[in-house]
Formats: sequence, C-alpha cells, structure tokens
Amino acid sequence: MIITANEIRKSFGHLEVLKGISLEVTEGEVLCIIGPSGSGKSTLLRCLNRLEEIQSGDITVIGENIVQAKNINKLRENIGMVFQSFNLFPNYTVMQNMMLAPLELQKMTRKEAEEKAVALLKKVGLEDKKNVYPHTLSGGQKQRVAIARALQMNPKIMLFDEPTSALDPEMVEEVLKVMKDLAQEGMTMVIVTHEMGFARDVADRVIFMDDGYIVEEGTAQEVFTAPKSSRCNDFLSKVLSARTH
Amino acid sequence: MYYFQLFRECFPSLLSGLYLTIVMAIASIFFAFIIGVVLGLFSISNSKALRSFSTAYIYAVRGVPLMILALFLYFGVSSILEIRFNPVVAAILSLTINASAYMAEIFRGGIQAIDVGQTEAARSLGLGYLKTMQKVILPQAIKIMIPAFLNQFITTLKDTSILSVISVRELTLNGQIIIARNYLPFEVYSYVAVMYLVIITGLSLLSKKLERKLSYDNHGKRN
Repeated sequence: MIITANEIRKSFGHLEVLKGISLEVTEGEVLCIIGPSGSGKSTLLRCLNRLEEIQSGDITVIGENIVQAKNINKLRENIGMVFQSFNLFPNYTVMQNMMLAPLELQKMTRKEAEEKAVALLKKVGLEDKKNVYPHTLSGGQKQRVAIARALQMNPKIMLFDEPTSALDPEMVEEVLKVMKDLAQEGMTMVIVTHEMGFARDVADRVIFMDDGYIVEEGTAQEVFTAPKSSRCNDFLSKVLSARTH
Repeated sequence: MYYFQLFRECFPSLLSGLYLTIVMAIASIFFAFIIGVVLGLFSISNSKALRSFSTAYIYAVRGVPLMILALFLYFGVSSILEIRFNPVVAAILSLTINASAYMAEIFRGGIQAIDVGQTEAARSLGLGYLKTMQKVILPQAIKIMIPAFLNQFITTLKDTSILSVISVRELTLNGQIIIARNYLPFEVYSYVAVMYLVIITGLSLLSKKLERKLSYDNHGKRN
C-alpha cells in the first residue's frame, strides 16, 4: 500500500467534515473520489499531504506516518499536488515556476532541473511557453504547467483537487489528456473530480463520498453502472442528466 | 517683489532644515521597515504570544500622539537615565517607533492579500515556511505594499515637523527661528509650506507612477 488512511476524523470548528474515513491506495492505482459539494472529498485529499491536520486517525504515505512526521517537507517532495485554481507563482516565468523547488531544495543542479523542466513542458505540449509569465496563459495551459511543476519533483504520488473545475469547457480535454497519459505511465493518482466520463475511463477504483463518509467504493464499472446505495444513485443520475442537457 | 527677495534670504537656512527633515524621514522609515517586517510576521504567526505582542505594540504606539512620544523620550527618559539625548537621535527614535506600528499593519495586510493557494502550492512542493515566505509570498506581497510604504513615508516626512518641539533643527523649527528674528510669519510660513508641498507632491507622483507600473496587468514580459 502506498497510501493507508485509518479512521481519520477532521473538523473545522464544530463542523465535522470527515467522520472516520479509511482508505487504501496501491502503487500505480488511479483512484477517483466523487461526491456532492461539501461531502469532504477535497478535505480528505488535503489531509493526505497534511495541508489539513486531522483530529484523530492515522495516515501512512510511502511508508511514513504523515500525521506525526517531523520533516513533513521531505515527505511532500514525493507527493505532487495539483489545485483547482492552478496556483502558479505569478512572479516567476513558467521555467522559474518549475525550477524553484528543485533548486531551492537542492534536489538537482541547475542544468538537470532545466533539462527536466523542458522535457516535462514538451510532454504537456507547452515547450514554447517556457519563458512566459503565467498571466499570459489560458486556464488549460496554466493547469498543464501546474501538473508539470508537480512532476518536476519526481513525486511517487499525484493528488489532484478538482483540476478541471475552474476551466472553461473547451480547455477541460487538454488537461484530462495529460492526466490520462500520466495514468497510463503507471503514476499513482488520487483525483477529486466532477468529470464522470474521465473517472469512468481512467479510474481503477472510484469512491463516492457524502456527508463525511465513504458511501460507496468499487471499480468504475461497479459504481457507475450499478451503484448499491440510493445516495450514490441519486447523485449520479443528477450529474449525468445535467451533462446530457 | 520683496516676497521673493526675502525667500532668497531665508532659503539657505530653510534648505538645511529640509535636508534634516528628509534625512530623519529616510532613516526612520528604514528602521521602521525592519521592525515592521518583524512585527508583521509576528502578527501572522501561529504563536499566540507573538501575535499578542505585536497587537499590543501596535495599539500602544497608535494610541500615543507622536508629540507626546517625542517629549517623553527626549525629556522624560533622559531625565530618569540622567543622559542628554541628541535631539536628532531622539527624533529618529520617536519617528521609528511611530511608523513601525503602521508599517507592521501594512506588512500584515500585504501578506494576507496573497492568495493562500500560493502558500499551499509552495508547501506541497516541499518548500518550508521560510523559503515559501522568502521566494513566493514576500516578492508578491512587497509589490502590493510599495504604494502604502510610500504613503507612510510621506506621513513620516510631515510628522517630522512635530519634532520641532524637541528642538530638532528641521524645516519647521528653522522657519520659526527666522520668524522670531524678522516677525514675518505670513511670508516665512508660506515658504515652509511650499517647500513641504513640493517634496511631498513629488513623492506622491512617484507613488502613483510606481503603482501603475507595478499593477498586475503590466507585470512581466509579454509573449
């Protein structure tokens, strides 16, 4: 298991958003987390690299207890994260965005970092944008740079927090394409998403969350075509019918 | 005509006053910047003690008029310690303490204006708190703060006139000294006012220009 979460609970003030979640992810697996807004899926994802502290339970990532880890920064180098709002650094060019962390953390020489960054930009189809500032990029381009920036650190796991939710519809595909390629290369991925089509095509396993619980779990096939719970069924029929209108 | 002739006579003395005014303003804004950065970092830190300290400092300083602060330091503290303060040192100290509280607030506001996603992205790449601040947050925040810093500089520059009460030979006091000699307050105070006005208007225009230059749309290279 590359990720193991055991009975985790998380509250914001009096509001409990994760009510005892247990979860396992094997190496190379693509796990999609779906569910309505406010179900706790983003919070769950953010607990996996300790952007959120949990109140109880345990999380082990790549063999390290992430809740008690003394050096969380070292662990985070192995866990790439992609955000809904891209979060590129506006004061740096695309290349500088990608090279900042590996150089500051002395993981690579400047030459290595540069070569790696160029290769990754080529992979996401943005080689020609390496010297521009993020504000000149479209949403889809920004998100592809953000993915490349996360990959630059050679992570063993990639976390995606609604990576296409802030994009104009015509840009969703280009980002999903990059993620699909990544999945095919065997990257371990945990993806919070509203893209049901993508989840169906790419996910090895799908988790449906509602109200702080994991309500349903199974292969994409199982969850999408024969959901066992009525809540999951309702959610899927709403989401899927909204898509066809 | 005699108005301009008198101005020419007063000018050297007023100019040396203006010089001291500017030097004091620059020196105190420099020290206030450093203290302000530290206090600003305190006020956004996770430690409750540091946050309280910074809050208390800011409230105390903002609640005491600069003139009282200067009189207290120059006459009060020196009488207890039985030392004689150099008035310029006391003046710079007072201005620094006063401005640092406002600088701290500018600093806190600037940092908090940066989207929390920036911190999260940097931290999730494995960068530590200090590196995140230094490489990602501060470069963006300071840019936002520059107009406010210049504004504070202008305020501090004007505040130097208050320090005439502790016999600092800045622009205002030099004007008063001339008036004591020639009994022409209308003329001399108008010279003093215009000299402040010229410097401060210049700074305001500079601030406007910087603000425009640093605004986000014009940021960086275009492709």
